[in-house]
Amino acid sequence: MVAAQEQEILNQAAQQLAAAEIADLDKIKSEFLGKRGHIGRMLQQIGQLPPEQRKEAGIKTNAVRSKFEQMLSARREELKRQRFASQEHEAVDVTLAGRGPRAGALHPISQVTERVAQIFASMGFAVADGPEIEDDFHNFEALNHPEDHPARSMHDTFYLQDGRLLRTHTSPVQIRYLKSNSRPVRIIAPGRCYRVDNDATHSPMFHQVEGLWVDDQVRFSDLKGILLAFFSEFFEDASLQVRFRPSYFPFTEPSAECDIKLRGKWLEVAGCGMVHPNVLAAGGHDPQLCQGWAFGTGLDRLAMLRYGFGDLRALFENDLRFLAQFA
Amino acid sequence: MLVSVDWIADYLPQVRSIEYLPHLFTDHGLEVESCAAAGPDLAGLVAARVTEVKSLAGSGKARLCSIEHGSKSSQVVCAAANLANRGIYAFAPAGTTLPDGRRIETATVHGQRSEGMLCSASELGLGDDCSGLLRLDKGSEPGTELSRLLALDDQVYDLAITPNRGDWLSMRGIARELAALRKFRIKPLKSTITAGGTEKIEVAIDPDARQACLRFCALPISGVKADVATPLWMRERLRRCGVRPVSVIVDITNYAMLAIGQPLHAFDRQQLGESITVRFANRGERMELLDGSEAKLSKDMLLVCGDHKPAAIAGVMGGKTSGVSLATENIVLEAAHFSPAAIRGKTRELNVNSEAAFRFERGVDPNLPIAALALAARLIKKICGGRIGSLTEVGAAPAAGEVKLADGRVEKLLGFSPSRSENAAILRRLGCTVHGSKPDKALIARPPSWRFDIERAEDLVEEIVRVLGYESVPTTMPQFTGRFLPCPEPLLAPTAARRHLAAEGFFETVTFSFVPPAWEADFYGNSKPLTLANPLSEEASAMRSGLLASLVAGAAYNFSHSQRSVRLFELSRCFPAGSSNQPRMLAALACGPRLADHWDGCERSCDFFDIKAVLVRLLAGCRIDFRKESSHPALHPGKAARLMLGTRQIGIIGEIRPQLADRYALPHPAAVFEIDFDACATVMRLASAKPQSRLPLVRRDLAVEADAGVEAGQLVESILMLAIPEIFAVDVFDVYAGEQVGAGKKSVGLRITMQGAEANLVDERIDAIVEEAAASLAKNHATIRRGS
Repeated sequence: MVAAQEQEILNQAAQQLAAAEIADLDKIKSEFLGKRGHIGRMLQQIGQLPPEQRKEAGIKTNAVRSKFEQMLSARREELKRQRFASQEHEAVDVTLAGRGPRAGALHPISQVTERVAQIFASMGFAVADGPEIEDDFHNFEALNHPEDHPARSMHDTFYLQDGRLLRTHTSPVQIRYLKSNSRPVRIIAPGRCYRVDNDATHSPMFHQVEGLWVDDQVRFSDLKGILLAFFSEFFEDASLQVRFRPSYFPFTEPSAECDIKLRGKWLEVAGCGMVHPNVLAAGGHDPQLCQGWAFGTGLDRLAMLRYGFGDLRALFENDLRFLAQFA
Repeated sequence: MLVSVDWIADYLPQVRSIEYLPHLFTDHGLEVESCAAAGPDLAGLVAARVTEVKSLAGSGKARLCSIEHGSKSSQVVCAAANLANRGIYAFAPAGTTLPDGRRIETATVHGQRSEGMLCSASELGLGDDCSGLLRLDKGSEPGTELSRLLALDDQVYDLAITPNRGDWLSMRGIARELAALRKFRIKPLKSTITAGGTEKIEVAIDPDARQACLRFCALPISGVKADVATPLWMRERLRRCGVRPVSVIVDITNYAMLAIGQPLHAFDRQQLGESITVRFANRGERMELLDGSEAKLSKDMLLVCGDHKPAAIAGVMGGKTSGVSLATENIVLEAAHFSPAAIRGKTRELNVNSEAAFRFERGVDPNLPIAALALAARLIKKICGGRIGSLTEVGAAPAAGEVKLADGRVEKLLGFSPSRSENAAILRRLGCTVHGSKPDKALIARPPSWRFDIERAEDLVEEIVRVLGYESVPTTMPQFTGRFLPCPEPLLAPTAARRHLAAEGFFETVTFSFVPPAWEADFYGNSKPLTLANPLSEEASAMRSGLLASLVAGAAYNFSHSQRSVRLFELSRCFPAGSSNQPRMLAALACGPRLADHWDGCERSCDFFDIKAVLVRLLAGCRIDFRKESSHPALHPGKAARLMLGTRQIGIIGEIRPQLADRYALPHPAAVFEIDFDACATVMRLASAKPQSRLPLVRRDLAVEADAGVEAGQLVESILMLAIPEIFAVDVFDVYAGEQVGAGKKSVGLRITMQGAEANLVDERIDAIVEEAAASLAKNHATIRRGS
């Protein structure tokens, strides 16, 4: 009788399991093993039996239970096997594009700026910043360009109606940074600059990066060393040739132009020199106690040289066909 | 500045033998912008003298002439009006080629044999004069090769002269520099003027003007022929240096200026009068200038007056009435020293170009006036005749101050130094007088009169290194005390923000900071933007207060270039009117299908929620409140929000107003945000974190019906405000409006995620929390609970 009942339960389980999908298995499991399930009830009934029958009933019921569990687990395995077998027949076209937007890109000027900042950061240069609408004092006077000085003719300046101006170079950051920081001053200052100039090789808005190092012992020979190392790093060319030519900038003395040799041609890439004592003084540092150097280079030019395109205007057209190359 | 090697050789004959002249220029501060042959190849062309001219009946202007050139003679047919018997012209014999490639052959013209061609300047490639034959100077030997006669074996360099070196603005100045670099000596200037008469001009410098005009020399020359032709050799030198011939007297003054660097002016003495006064202009004074413009004079303009009437703006430009004409017989030559400060800014104020002012504002050697007068007078007497009067000289050349070069200064600044005696020798070659100072081993240098840029030790160091060349400076890496760079973790840093947006499919743009004023009005309601006084154009005259218009224009540009979907961003400074701040702004725009040209594509246009997702991911780590905004000029009144970070508005988000999108040629709705980057860059990304409980999460859904005007955020907030500690998160998982709910209503599904604080949550507690949440929703927003 008992055996028949047990067999009945197991038969029922076998039937249900055979018809079950994987999602049904948990339900079947609780139907049988749950408190009110077929086997669950049997387990509970054991407690009501006289003590001498309990052991035997326990062994039997547990046998049913473990048999059921075996069947359940076998069915689960079987169903998984079936699923895996059918999943293995699924396939995707691996050449199709992934979902979601295609990659955008940083503007080449940003990429170059980051690269420059990274190289200089590795020598301990911080990045400094300053306003683009400047006053005459920071853009010219403090940089040793007195009013009406012919050196100002090297800058075609945009003026605002209120008399302020758009900075013509990143050099005003020198003054602002010197005024609010103690030595050693070791910065680069990338940013936008503006000049009234618009042709195939000049944009009215362009990008420069300024470098400034002021301390008690910084020499021109160090400037040569740093610029050589920087341009070699930037262009990833350990044998890059750099030359320095005498030049004139009111805010450096002595002054030089720095050229690099790329693809067999000398190209002017930076203006530089030892910071003029008047500039140190305007920045609140006693020129008797310190000295330093500064340089300025064009980021647009560096981007063009780095990526080998010749058209400055492409940088400001924002044509996605051009920008997509920098993704 | 254009310089001719042939002309420089007048002062430094050795220049012809300097190899690598362009390198020498470049290596020592004279940047060579270009270098070209002085003239075209005129091989085979010779000077020829006309010995006979015959009219040719019925042939118009053409005449037959016999010419001799050296031992040969030829005949040519020529129609030039200025052809004259005995004249000497440039002759291209048959078999030669003109610079324009034309080959000259013997031809029959009007029935006559023509064995070559007499040429105009333009045909020879020597300027643009094609009005007649180029007349060669008297005394040119017939048969001489033109290239020899015109010294065409010459190089013309275009040198970029830095503004500190006024002393380089002449042939002699360049010769002097080359001599210093190569240890040559230049020929001394002749400063003797042989007077032939006693006429003299009285000159007075007003006491107020003595600082501005340190020296003034005047020399009368009478009985000149001002209408003779400027000799070809002089015209040719002027041409090479880019100066157009005007008339002989003016050409001679220009020639003297280019030769030695001293600007000169020639007055017509009849117009000028008998005396000269140098004074500052009176307020409101006016004069007509040589170039025909009427100048309004300001009180800081220095005038040269003849008999008290303004005759010239000193060092800038002569007056029209006092200038020389072809009819002038008596002239007065002026050579003066005006201080740079007195001349600077005047050409800009008057809006004129002046070679004289260009030199004076950079500094002209105060010792030059008499040498310049001597040179010009000699040329005038030779070319135009006349009688040289007696020189008047007022004022004196100022002496330059001494500059001390302390021992060790060169080494300290450059990282190397030549010996003290080498330094002294270099400075002497440059014209300084140098002596040593014994006790401190310093050098004391007095710069030469032509240098205006040597005032301090650094200037002497520059001169030393300039002469030696920068190759002589070693290349070193600095020894320095290290210092860490600050390394904050802000909510937004430029590089991270850019990379994030690029990864989201956005392209960074760089657009101009000056925009059409209409953009400011349309997108920011800004009718008074900061404007440029001298914009390139009206379209680039307003400083932008934000980036939205530029992004919209950038998108429109790309759509017009066949793009189907555009995502752009820009990070740059903006210039809000009425604010002294120039904050960096970050704006992004998405316009067009979400996934264009994709096999699993989503052709639905990007909308508010697409850009919102980008923004929220960008600013992950901080809680931004979105407050409905219906009055932003650029944004759709029903699809826009202000972005609040705590109590501070940090930006806006929304879709561009349909009217604007249409006006700016966008083919789809555009979703944008714009944030004040600087405001986000000063907020810390993450202040603190705590360990997470291991207890399981429990989720319960709560569906309510609310008025359509109630925002989902308000519903969430009304649950969160209960501050039930077990509530972990509340998410809106469904929003529905339509037939199933009444008009003006919507159904919102809220999913409450809970977690026990100390032990697993029991059903009773879970139900109680959900009930409490439902009650709060009903109370605050009159919601009706739907379903269970």
